[in-house]
Amino acid sequence: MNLQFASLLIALPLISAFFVPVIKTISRKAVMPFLVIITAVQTGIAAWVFEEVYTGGKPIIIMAGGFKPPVGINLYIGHFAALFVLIIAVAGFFMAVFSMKSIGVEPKDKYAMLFLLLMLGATGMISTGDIFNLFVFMEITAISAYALTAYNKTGEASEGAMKYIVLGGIGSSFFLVGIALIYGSLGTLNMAQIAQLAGNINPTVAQAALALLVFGLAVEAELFPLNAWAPDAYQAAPHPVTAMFSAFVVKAGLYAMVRIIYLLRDTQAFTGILRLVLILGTITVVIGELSALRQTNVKRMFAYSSIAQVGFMAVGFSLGTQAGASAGVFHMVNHAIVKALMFLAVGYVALELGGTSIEDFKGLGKKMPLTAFAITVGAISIIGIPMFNVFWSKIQLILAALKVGKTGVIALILGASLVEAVYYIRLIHTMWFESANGEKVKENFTLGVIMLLLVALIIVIGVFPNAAWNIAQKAAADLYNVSQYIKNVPLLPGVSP
Amino acid sequence: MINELMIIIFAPLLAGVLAWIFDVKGIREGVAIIGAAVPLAYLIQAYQTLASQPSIQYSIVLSGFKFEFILYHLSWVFAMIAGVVGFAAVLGMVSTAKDSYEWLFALMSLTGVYGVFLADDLISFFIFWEIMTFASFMMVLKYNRKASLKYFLLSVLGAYAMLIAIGIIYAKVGAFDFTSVQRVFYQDAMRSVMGSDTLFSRNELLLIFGLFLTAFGVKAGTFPLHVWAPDAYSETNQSYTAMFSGVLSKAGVYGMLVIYILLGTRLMYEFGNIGAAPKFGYVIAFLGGITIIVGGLLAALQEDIRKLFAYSSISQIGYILVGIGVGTALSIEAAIYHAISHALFKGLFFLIVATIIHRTGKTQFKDMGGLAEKMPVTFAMAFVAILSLAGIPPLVGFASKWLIFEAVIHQNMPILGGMLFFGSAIGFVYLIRFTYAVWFGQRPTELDDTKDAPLPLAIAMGILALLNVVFGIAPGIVAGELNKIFGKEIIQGTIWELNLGFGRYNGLFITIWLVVGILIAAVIYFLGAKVRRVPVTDTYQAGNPVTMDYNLTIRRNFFLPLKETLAFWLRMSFDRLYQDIGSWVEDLAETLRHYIYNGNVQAYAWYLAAILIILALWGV
Amino acid sequence: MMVIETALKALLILLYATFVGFMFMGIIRIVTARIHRRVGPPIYQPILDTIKLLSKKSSITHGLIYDFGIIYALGATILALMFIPLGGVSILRAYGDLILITFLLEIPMLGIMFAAMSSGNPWAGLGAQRALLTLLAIQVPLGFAIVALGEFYGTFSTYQIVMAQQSMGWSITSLPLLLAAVAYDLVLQAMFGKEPFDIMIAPGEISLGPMVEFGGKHMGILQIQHAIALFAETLFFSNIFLGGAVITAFASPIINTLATLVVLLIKQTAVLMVAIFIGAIFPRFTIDQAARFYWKWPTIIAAAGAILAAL
Repeated sequence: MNLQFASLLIALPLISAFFVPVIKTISRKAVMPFLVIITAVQTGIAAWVFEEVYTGGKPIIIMAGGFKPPVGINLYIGHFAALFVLIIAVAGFFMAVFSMKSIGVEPKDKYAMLFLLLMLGATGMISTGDIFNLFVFMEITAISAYALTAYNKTGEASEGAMKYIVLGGIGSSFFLVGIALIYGSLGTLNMAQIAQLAGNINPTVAQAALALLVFGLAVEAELFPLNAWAPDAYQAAPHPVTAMFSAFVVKAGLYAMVRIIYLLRDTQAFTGILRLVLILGTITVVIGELSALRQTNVKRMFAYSSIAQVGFMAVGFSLGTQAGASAGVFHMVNHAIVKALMFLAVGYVALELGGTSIEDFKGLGKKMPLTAFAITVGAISIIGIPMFNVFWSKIQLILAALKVGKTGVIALILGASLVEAVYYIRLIHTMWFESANGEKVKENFTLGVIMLLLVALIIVIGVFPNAAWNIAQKAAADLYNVSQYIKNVPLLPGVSP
Repeated sequence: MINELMIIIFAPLLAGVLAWIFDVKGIREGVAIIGAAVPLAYLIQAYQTLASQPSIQYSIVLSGFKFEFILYHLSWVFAMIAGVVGFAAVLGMVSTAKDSYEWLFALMSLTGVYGVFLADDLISFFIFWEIMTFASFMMVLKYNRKASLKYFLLSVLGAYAMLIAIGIIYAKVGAFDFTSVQRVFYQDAMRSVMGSDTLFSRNELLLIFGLFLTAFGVKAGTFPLHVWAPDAYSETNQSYTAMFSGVLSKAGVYGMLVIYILLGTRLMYEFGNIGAAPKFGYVIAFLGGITIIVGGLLAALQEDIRKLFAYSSISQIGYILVGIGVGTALSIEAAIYHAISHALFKGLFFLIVATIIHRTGKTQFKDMGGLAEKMPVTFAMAFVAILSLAGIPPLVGFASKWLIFEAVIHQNMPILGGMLFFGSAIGFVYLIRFTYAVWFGQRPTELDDTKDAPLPLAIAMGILALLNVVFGIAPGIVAGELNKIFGKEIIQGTIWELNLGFGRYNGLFITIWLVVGILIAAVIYFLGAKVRRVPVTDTYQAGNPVTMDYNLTIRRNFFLPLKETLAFWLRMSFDRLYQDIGSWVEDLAETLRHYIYNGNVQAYAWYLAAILIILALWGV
Repeated sequence: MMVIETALKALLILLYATFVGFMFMGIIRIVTARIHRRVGPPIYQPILDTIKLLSKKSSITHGLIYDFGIIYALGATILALMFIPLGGVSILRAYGDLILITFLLEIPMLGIMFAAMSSGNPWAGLGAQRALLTLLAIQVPLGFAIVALGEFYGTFSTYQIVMAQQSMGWSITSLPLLLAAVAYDLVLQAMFGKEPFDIMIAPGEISLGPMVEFGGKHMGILQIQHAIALFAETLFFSNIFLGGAVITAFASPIINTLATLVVLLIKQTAVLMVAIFIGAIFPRFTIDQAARFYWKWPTIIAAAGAILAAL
């Protein structure tokens, strides 16, 4: 098959999003199944792309209109993008299925549209090869995320969305200024070319531009203290949307940040900015975990935990070594799996029992054994118990950090992990060993299957991490090895600003 | 053909998972027993192999790490402890386990322990360490959240300390396997002797040592990291505690040995000796000594049978640490010997406790009494266990304690010697308290139809009691195996005799002469008049009649005078200190969250501004 | 042949130890009486008492443990006796390890405790508690004293220590061991159950504590046990601190042995006298007083001895 079909990854959600109103006029009931079908198809395409990239070993470059970069805009689906596009598609598919059950509020057609746009935005952010395009996709993601946050139409939801908009808006405008600075100084927006020319850039400009870009993206990447919107938004958003936020939206933001930092490796600002991200990441972990400690709302607790984990990844990437990047990517993958599972389960509990406060989780092991089991496995995995997937990425990350002598940072992070163990264990105990009255709920079959699939994935990666680790390493190499990135993009010779 | 080491390690886990899935009473017990018996069988078989070759090795690559396993004399001895006591504990659980959940995690922890003992690289060591911790934690979680949390937090703290130490070592050595690490540290030691630059600086070395010490100290229950043990040991299935205290704590002991194996030479050269003992070892030994005293005194003051033995377990581990800390070949052999006896008598004790609780449903001393008549078999087992723990010849507890005494005093360590003596007396003290309150005196009427131990528990206790006697009368059997670890005859003698050159102990003679003495006494006894059996109420009370309406047995606050004497010291508690730190952290976290995530979007916008200013400052 | 010879020796030692032990008990009563300005019983009174107890026509028992504990106590005392060097006649002196003997001398108490507690008498329980706490109290100075010996001589064999003293002079002539001996002597006071550390039996207060329930042949056996223990403890002290006795001046081995026994007997009596004098002068300590006392001065003295010996 022609590899250019990979552009469907962008095109399909976009076109389908436009088709949603059409479907709605045919039948209101068909909207959600349509969403499921589209995400399923998207998953298929993503799987095919993944297969192609990983067996072929070469990235897929898609040039808009056939113009070679830097003249034309290109998509770059390398190892990293292929992996994450797949994760986005799979998570999207699962959440679409979950949405069929969990989204009761109208207008569902708007929901479906925004859902698809969110996927589109994240996919675009990860696969684009053009920095301005990145901004555009980020805006698509962000705006659909704002809207989805407010979707439940409660006061809480509006407030959460409002905070998100304010902070997100400030962030993206600074990001735009950063792009302008780069463009002004290099005259190009193509990422490969930026990397190529990074050495020539005026150091002050590079510093300012990098600072602004990181600052803008840190809002999306939920780095402290720019993540203040996140707990509210996570809690207020519809359950499937929260799962997607945690599974891929935040990771797309983090990816963009890391990609840009690595692209500008040749500038003098590089090490400084890495150190900054390291500090921010560490604080993010510590504050995130501590904040989660006494949460009585489980969904919010998971939100804080999610923030902390993102900080963990940021630390991995900011080590500036291949091993650190590999660990970071591996952690991204594992975290996506675990958090998708946990937010799905929590959402499902909220749906059945009417809330996400810790009271609702009392005796969950009796009422909804499968869901409680899923949450337990997820929690144990996140705590970092061997034979579960997160253990491997955590240990790789810690070893990578100690390899470059960041003992203090690791001590802090591990201290925060202790805190994490406390609140997850309390939750587990509440679910299984505290009695509460209530009938046993008949658990939904489809959701049960999805949860079991994810649980199985967690354990399989936990017991046989080799395959996943290899994939993560390749993906990280794609991210880390910038000179290879430049070589992979067929820049038109002779075109320079 | 699957490697035998893998079978040894994973057979229990597999059995546990199967028992968990096929949750049918009868089947799961059978599967579990097989799961515990298979590794034991393989270990016994491996003994033959080890006679002809120094070790059995196996390695596998996972997630970029090469996992290496090795079975040689040292790990064989420790694995056998796990095998025997684990098997006995599993037998005991047949009687006491309530559901498949317990089977899964009990057997999982056995897998973890085997993994720790057989690991030959730091990563597998760490991973199995974590599995062991996690599984045992789950066993406690089911019974008590607070106890389990305390256990888990301290254990994970230790595990993370170990992880950091491993990371620091890896960063410099570039490998995880014990052989490479050991070699690098050895070369480093040589370099420091020559006066050239060393790979690990003095401070790094100190840091690594401290981190490892924390990690292993937690698991072994070393003062002041012992606070989890009394709660965790008591708040779980008591048959499982036989394994928990008997075997899992040995992982900490084994870890201390790993410190010696990996870092020993370098530490010794870097920090020198006090007398004949390495300075760094003295730290371990001294902590061990304090552990003996603190654990023993607290054991004497407990009102709960489970807690008494939990503290007693801590106290006894102290002996092992003293032996390890002194650091001569003899003292380390003595420590390993005591590790074996500790596993045997402590495993036996916890099975006895399990039986008592299983049959009476009581845990407090105040609710018990006069059970010796109702549970003669269990009492007989308890008698063996008491003699063994108290260090009465000719049981195994004496043989190992004697070795430790001799090894320590021979190295001219007066303070440690005094601590050991105190420990042996305090052992007497709390054991008699247990004996008196549980077995003797007036029996509460509700315990009148208490039955003796169920068969599986009785068999399990029988196995351990038998070994307690055998290894005591023939201490040379164990000493022979221990000598193989060092490859030379450190403890000489026959299988009946331990000969150190400056001291000798012959288990057989003691047995013979004890029997002779008892026979003489018995002859005098039987020459006397016939005896008439009287009930427990028919005692001398200055003419005041005793009735069953008043229970005159002293069950509560038995050692009140001791408590009063120690009042000043008992006010200090590390447990409370840790709890205070814990709640302080929680309060801090809540305050932080309250101020940072205050829900005010203007405040959030200010954060952006603040960061921007920082960026600007950094940029210029 | 070997076996018969050994058995004969053992029997002789046992009879001698029992006899001397009873004499000691008699001496204690006489000397105490004289200090109190009483006449006191004849020296053989304890033997008469014991014969009377053993020949009682009716005995009561509280069950198997009650009987076995008593037998075990006597058996263990005999065991301990066999390991302590007694000039040239002792049987297992090659295995007479310091630590071993220290432990062996404590075991009989365990048997008595078991028997006493199994009776169900609350006074016995109380007595057991006090006895144990006394044991705990004395163990620290005792331990340090033993440590000092072990360190000083570099061996744990009692016999070798005795032999060393033949050439180097008595242990108490060197400062570290003198300190240890003082501490050990204070400890002996409690081991004998003499005032001021007799709170565990506390006659008249808790009706003899552990002993309260025993009568008839049980008490008789305990009397024998007490006699042998008295002999063994004084003998041990004489051996390790007072030079023991190995006399080879005479041609005949029998005369040598007898002379040895006489020398030992003199030393043992001296040890006993000190205990009696202290016991007669001081009033009884309560248990916490006793513990505080032992954990203070004797411990400091013995620890000083041990540390000096280590240097």
